[in-house]
Amino acid sequence: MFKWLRAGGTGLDEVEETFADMLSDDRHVFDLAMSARVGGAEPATVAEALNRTEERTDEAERRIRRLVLVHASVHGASDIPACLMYMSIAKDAERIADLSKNLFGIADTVGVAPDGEARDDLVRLRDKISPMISEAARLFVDDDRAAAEAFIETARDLQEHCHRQIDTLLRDQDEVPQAAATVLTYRHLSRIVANLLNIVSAVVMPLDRLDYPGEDEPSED
Amino acid sequence: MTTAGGPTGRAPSPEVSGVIRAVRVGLLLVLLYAFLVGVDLLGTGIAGLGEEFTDRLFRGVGNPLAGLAVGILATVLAQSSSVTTATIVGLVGAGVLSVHDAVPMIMGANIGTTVTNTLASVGSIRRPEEFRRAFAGATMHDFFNVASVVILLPIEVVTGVLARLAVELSDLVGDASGGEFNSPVQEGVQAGAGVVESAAAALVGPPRVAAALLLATGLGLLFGTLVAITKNMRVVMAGPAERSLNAVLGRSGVLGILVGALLTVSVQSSSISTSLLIPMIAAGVLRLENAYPVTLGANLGTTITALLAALAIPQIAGLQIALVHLLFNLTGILIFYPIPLLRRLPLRASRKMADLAVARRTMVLVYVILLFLVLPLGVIVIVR
Repeated sequence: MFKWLRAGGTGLDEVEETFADMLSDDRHVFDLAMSARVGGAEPATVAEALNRTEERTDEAERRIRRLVLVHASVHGASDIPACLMYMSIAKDAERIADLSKNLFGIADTVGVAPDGEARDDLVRLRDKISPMISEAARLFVDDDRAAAEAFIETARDLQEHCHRQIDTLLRDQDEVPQAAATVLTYRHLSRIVANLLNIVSAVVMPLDRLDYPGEDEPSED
Repeated sequence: MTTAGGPTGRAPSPEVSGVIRAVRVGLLLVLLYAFLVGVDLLGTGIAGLGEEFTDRLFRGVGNPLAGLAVGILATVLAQSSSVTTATIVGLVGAGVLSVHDAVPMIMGANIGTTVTNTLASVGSIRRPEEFRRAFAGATMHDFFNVASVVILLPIEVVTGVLARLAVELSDLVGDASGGEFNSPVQEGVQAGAGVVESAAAALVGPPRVAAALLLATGLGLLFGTLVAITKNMRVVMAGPAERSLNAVLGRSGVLGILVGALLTVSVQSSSISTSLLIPMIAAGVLRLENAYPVTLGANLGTTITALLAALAIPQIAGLQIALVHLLFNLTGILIFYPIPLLRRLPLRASRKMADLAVARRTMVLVYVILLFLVLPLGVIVIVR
């Protein structure tokens, strides 16, 4: 009955656990969505699991908000930077699942995967991004700054690649429907990577610069 | 999981280590001892000032409304019902106040203590919806306490039922008729108080000046130790408090009462425990219905201070007034909580009050000044 009196840890430990679970769910949603988009899976076969997992990330974000609020109420100002950061990155994690669901939406609507080079490129991106979601969780928990810097570098390269592909496809006059779908796919992939980047930027960036990792740090004077 | 100063920027874990916890528990014991010595000195000091002085000081408190008003005002000024109730226990123990006269003052302390969370709710006054919830959350405690007084004070004045029940209960641990109560800590407390009394007598010659010094020292110790206990326990109990509050989110009922009582016993302050709820209610994370039992539990938990204070008093009257405090709060809960129709009354009243406050912000100021200052002051002035 009085287990809560003896148990260790604060609400922020629970926040961290919930956040790690969220990223794990994010990866699952992403993998299911991409399996439908480029992996040949029938959308109907993955829809239920995908929706269920995505809803779990929504609930996890709400849970993190509640935990953070209770923590801030009990502990006062001492953990405010951490509280604000968790609110911010929980949103990012929720967006990853949301955007992955949008990717699934494209697969569900368009039906067929792109051919040839575009397909190969998307498969390559899937294979890179999927482990990055788990890696983001690991980096966050381990507070590994060196690996986080390398992660951010990779994420920026992937974003640039997606943007280049978008530009190329938008200039392409052939096969407009597939081009539009592929553009959207790249767009969402880019956003997913951007949100991962935001999460990991919390390892190296001050609170006020979260979500803006590309901008130069203001000078001290 | 994450180290301090890592990505989270978290302060070192507030969950204190074993050694620090042991130090803080040791500190708590020292503070509790000083608190009990303070209660003893307060009684000795005021008794030493003579009957003429105490009669003048407490003239009019025989009137229940005046006693109620004194309880409200003293608690508003001290911002702590624990200070007021411990002082009342000391005064009753010293024979300066009778249990009968002190009952309305104890009830007043219950009302006065709610000013703190009402003021805490004003923090969100710029955001109407947040403020509506926060103000309702704060004033539901006011309405519950006022309603309990409205019902129980007249009954007590006519029948003296709470005082009589307290006498019966006190007979279980002491000699209710002989007026003595030997608590296990009394000898130790009196030894400490004796040292201070001897020092005061040696420092200042005239007995009345020495008594005034003892009174001031007693009050200072009482106030200072309670503040220090609250601060110390807030650190020690932060983790369990957070876990228990997380447990009551989305739940209602007896668990909430238990959490509110334990939280308040831990930090020795219902003002702190009820004020903790306000940001959660304001944000909509904690529903009014779920916060309500926690608030009622806080009313129960806060009675521990008077019971602790009674340990320092050799006269059983001190224990009896502390038991009245417990019985009053327990009866209030038993009247309002089990019956859904009555349970909802304070909630409805506080929601209406919050609507009024949002529509007209000056209402908040009027309400606070009227309930916590003008009314009690007016009653005192009229009665005296």
